[in-house]
Parts: sequence; structure tokens; C-alpha cells
Amino acid sequence: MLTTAILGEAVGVQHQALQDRTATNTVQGLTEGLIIGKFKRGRTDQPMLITANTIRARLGYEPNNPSYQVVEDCLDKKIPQVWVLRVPDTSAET
Amino acid sequence: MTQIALKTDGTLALNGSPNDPIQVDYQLIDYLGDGVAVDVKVSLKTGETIPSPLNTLMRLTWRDTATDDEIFVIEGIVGLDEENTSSLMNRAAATQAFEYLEVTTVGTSFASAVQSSDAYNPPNSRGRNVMSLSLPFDEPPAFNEDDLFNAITLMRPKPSCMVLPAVDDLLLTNTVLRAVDKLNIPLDIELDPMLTIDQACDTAEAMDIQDHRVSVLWSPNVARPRGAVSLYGPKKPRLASGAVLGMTLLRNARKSAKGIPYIADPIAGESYPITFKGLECRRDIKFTDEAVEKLARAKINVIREIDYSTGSKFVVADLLTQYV
Repeated sequence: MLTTAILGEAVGVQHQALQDRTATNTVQGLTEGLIIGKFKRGRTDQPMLITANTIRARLGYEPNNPSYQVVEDCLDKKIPQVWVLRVPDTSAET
Repeated sequence: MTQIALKTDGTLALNGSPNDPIQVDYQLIDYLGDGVAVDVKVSLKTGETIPSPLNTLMRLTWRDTATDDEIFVIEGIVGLDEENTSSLMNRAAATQAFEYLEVTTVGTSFASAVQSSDAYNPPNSRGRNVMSLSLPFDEPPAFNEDDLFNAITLMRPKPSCMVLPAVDDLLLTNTVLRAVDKLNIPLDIELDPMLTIDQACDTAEAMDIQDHRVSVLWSPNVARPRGAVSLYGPKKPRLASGAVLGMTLLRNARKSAKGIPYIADPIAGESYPITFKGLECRRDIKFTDEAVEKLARAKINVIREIDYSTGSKFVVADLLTQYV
């Protein structure tokens, strides 16, 4: 067995360094879904990218909130991520 | 803006003053709502024994007090500047969750203040000393139509489909319909599952959508809640638009050999059933010929049980042309 501290020399261990694709033109598919709803927590100026790991923390755990249930159901279909836009309560409108 | 300050006597507070040994001023981009606390834990770099601004680590954990979910966690050295990757400021910027986070330290009596704090974990200790500060209710600004319109239409990447699960809010619905017009993408609107057939038709007709991109879904069914283990138990109404969106995105991700997604295959019918546990139609809903005609005229897509040769399934049904 070969022991080495240099990744890439060892068989079976691969490391791709972080790649900066900031200025590139990635092709957008039809896979950007957006859910608009009212949640306990989250920013309101832009949609948030929510995954199954981040839904509880970013939107606030509210199992009885229909909007929260919709996001959960969507992620239950095993899609990696969905955009969610939080809307503040419209009762006190500017 | 929120402040977390370690005072000269070692206490932690949410209000800072200029001579505090450690003061953290920050503004998160997310609005946290209520029931959130920040846990503060102070320790030293390995090998150090006397606290100083250049060797003291602070770990801040924003935590939901009801569920103990960790919302954000950052840890870094308080006295280093933001270009240093070990500094608290740099780590905060790396999370991209902060508008800003600034740390100021005062060197005089720094060591004694840190050592007398209940949040301080001396070297070679078990490292369990943590102090929690409850944060006040963090409320977003009031609803503004134009802000919402801009948030939807200017988002990057551009959305490919939208879902509006709740239409009890006319102002919100109108703003979203305007955004659909601008973006030219499909929108699914869902009606309240507890409406009667007449109420659902009236609501759909009152919205007066007149837009071919918009579908109105309605699921007058009850099912076991998402986390339920057993099939028998109290059943609740559930919105189906999340499941429909999930299936839509999965279908769009599947591409033919030429790289074209199967968008001609509608998310309706046998191939795309709604699979909630114990799903059944509400007992007060009767799909008589008259009711079906009324729903079809109102252009509502009903999630309804249809019999297929492979079994009966709850699907998004096209009422009049569906062969039942």
C-alpha cells in the first residue's frame, strides 16, 4: 500500500480543486423552480436556494405551514435544490 | 444591526460600548424571526495560554431555540483583520450570509476580561463552556409589490417555472401574475384544499387569470401528514403543488439524446401520480357530472383518483377529456 501526502499520486483518491466559474456562461436548463410563500425565517429581497439540508434552518421549522410543506414535498422528490422566495405578511403594506 | 459584546467584567451583552474587549457588530441578510439565540464560545489557539486579541477564537452559533437547529456557525480569531483567512471577519464573509460583520478588540485588560467570562474555555479543558444570548424578534420590512416583482423578475438564474401555493392574498397573486407576464414562464397556483366545489370555481373565476401560462391546481383530498408512520390516523388536507413542481423539475432534467427535455410529456395522468400516504378524497366532495362540468369551465386542474389498467392513482386530472 502506498502512503503519500500528495493527493493525486494515490490510486483511487481524486481531488478536484475548487473551480471558479464566475465569469463563464453556464447553460441554464429548465430546472430552476421557484416557490413563493410565507415563512418564519429568511431573506425577502431575493430568492434563497434551499436544499433538503438547509430547509429547516433557513426557512424556520414550521410543519403546519402550507408553504413550508410545499417546499418539503418538492425536495422529497429528490431534486437537489429549489429556489424559495419569502414574502412578508401583506397585512401591513407600505 | 446587532451587537455582541464581551464586557470588561466578562459578561456578554447585546449592547456594546467603546471600551469592550471584544465587540462584534453584524447584520445578517436573512431575517431570523423569533426564537433564535446566539451561542458564544471563546477559546484560545492551540499552544497559547494567555488570551490576547491575536490568539483568541470566538465561535458564534445562531440557533433555533425550539428545535436546536443550527442556522449559521462561524469561528475565527477576533483580533486578526479580514484579509487573514483565520479571522472571524473573513470566515463570516465566506458564509455569504452577512451584510457585514465587524469585530473590534481593545487590548487593555483583554486577558482578564476573557478569563473571567463564562463563555471562556481554558486550554486543556473539556471545551463545553457556552453562553447563549436570546436575540430579539427580527422582522422583515413590510410587503412591497414592486420589491416582490423585482425579486422575481431580476433573479439570477432566471426561474423556469413558478409555484404560488396560497392564493388567499389578492395583492400577492396579482404581483406574481404580472411577473409571469414579464418572465413568460409557467405558473402553478393552488387553491385551498378545504374549499367546496362551488367555492373553488368562484375563486378561480374571480381571479380572472386569462393567461395560458397559468394552471390552477386544486387537491380536495386529505392524507396522512408527511412524517406519519402509520396509514391509519387523522388525515389532513395537503397542498400538492410542491410534489407537482418536484416532478416537473425531474422531468425537465431528463433529456433526450438530442439534449431536449421531455416537456411535451405533461405532469398529469398515469405517469405522474401524487403519492402522499393514505391519500383519499374528502367525503363531502362529489364529482357529479354537473360538478365536473363546472370545474372544467372554471379551468381548474383537480387532483383526483382515476382508474388505470395499472391500478387507481391520484393524478392531476383533465376533467372533461379524461377517460375514466
